[in-house]
Amino acid sequence: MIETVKTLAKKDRRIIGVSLVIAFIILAIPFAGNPFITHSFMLAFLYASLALSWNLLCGYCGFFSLGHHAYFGIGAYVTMILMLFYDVTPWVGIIFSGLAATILAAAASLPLFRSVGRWFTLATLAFAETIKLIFINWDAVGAAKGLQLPVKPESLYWLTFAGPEIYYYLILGSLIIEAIILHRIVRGKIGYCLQVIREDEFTAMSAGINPLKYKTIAMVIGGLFAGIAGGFYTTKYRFVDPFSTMDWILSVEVAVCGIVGGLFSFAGPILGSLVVIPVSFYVRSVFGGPLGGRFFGVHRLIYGCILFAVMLIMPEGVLGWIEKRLPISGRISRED
Amino acid sequence: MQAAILQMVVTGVLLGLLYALASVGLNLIWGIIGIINFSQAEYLMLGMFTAYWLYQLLGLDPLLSLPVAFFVTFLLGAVVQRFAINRVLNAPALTQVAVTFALLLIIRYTALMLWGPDSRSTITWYSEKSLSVGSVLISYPMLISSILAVLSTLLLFLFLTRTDTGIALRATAQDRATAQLYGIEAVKMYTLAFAIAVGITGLTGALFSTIYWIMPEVGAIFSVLMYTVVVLGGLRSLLGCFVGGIIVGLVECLSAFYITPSMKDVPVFLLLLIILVIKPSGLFARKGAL
Repeated sequence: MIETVKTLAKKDRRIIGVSLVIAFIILAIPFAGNPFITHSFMLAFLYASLALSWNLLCGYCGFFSLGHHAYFGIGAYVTMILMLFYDVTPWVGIIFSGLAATILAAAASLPLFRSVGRWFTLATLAFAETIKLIFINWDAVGAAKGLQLPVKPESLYWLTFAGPEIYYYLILGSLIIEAIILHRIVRGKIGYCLQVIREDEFTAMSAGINPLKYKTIAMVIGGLFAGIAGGFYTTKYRFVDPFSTMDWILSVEVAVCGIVGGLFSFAGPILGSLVVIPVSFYVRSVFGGPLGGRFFGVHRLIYGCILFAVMLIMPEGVLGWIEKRLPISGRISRED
Repeated sequence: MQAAILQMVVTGVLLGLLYALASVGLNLIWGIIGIINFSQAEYLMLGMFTAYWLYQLLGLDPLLSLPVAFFVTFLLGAVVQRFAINRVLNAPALTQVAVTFALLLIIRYTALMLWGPDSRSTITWYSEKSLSVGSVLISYPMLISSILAVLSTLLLFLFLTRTDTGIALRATAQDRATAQLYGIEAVKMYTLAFAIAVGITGLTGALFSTIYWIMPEVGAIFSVLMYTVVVLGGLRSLLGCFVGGIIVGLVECLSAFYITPSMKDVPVFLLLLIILVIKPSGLFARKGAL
């Protein structure tokens, strides 16, 4: 008995130590003075917050959505419209972004959850593409041209900064808050109900769980955080158009991050984003992209190869794959 | 006004016949192997480019390169089935979706890397010509492509119903275990089914190369249309594919006319959503048999 307590404590100590080192590295990255690295990890945190919110529905409930970018796009647009047309500070705008995405998710969930499995994936894709086409043709919000914020002096009120450092800490902060909230949710009643629904919807119903209610909750919470991430995107990039904020490739990227990290774990999507996004950002800036690179779609090709390899070699994701081979399992991620 | 509507209806039906052929492959894979192949439209793009390069390098008429387009994509399909799809046949839906999506990314963005994002087109002696029936104008490329599409579908239908291999394919789709008891090798049948399905989509790409822009990202335009056709028509039904294709073609042309051309896909997407919500198994779905 005492032995187990001792080893547990030792294991805990080791995990706390590793976490502290990781936390220190993450906090210190902007001080390395390389804006490229800071920027790429900032982007990774943005994707991590998207992947975390997406995984609530996908990993915990088994509904593979490819329409998550609709909530992100709506969030980006709402903050932009409030800043540009109504002079509202992005601090408030981001809250409204979350609200708008929540409303969209709530409205979409009733029809979308009529279908299950692969049909659901298809339905979410069609839903998000419809939203994108509407924005492409909506003249009041810039249609296909998109909206551009005018240049403003640096200020905290307008969330305008030259370098990526402050955005880095802002997005990291929002990611941490999101992770804490989501962690509480998945460890609480909602999380367990979602997992029961994932395993067997009929069992869930016979246990008195209303599947539609919990699926809607998962979709709405996911939408909320995706919308907030969209708001942060606007403050950083200061330009939104349907092609950059509402392209289906965004949902694919998010799914790749989640799958690479491991869907059935809480930390998986974060780990996946921290691996996939900096790599693809680097590849894109070296080999391709619209600014003079020779190979246009190379980073997306990389997503394809990573996804393909991970699905065939380690279907349980990197985190699950590591855990299977290390004796320290059970502490970091397993929920089920 | 009436003449314009008639024109739209005729164009819509002709385009719909092509959409039908494009979706037959998706329907076959979905119906026989039981997975949604999200990369299906990429083979259409490859068929387009096969026709385009034969036209560009050898001066071959795009419609003469139909067999080449079929065989190129057929072989690629056999390889993909063997090394990727076969491994995830019994995997969860999520894995299947992810793998076919990975294939989509790999094919589309390899093509983008090789050939760049520009849209190209083929020009033949009949490109500018058109047939006038009353007040309706039918362009020759459209007419020829649609006729060839119908012929190809008929050939496929005959193959599936009149040849031993076709019947074995349908038997596997109906009941895999029983088919295996009768000595049909399911894995072989799946490879064949996938290769044929993908080959037909590639052939449709060659047909489209006379009337559509040829670019690596063209699959993005076609994929949702193809899903809509299959969902409308229902699984395992060639007739359903035709009905679905014609409905989608009509909806697209009429909404391009009545709303704006850039919004023409919104009603199609909404149609797909509505059907998925009301009757996810499709309007003409048949159980088992093809």
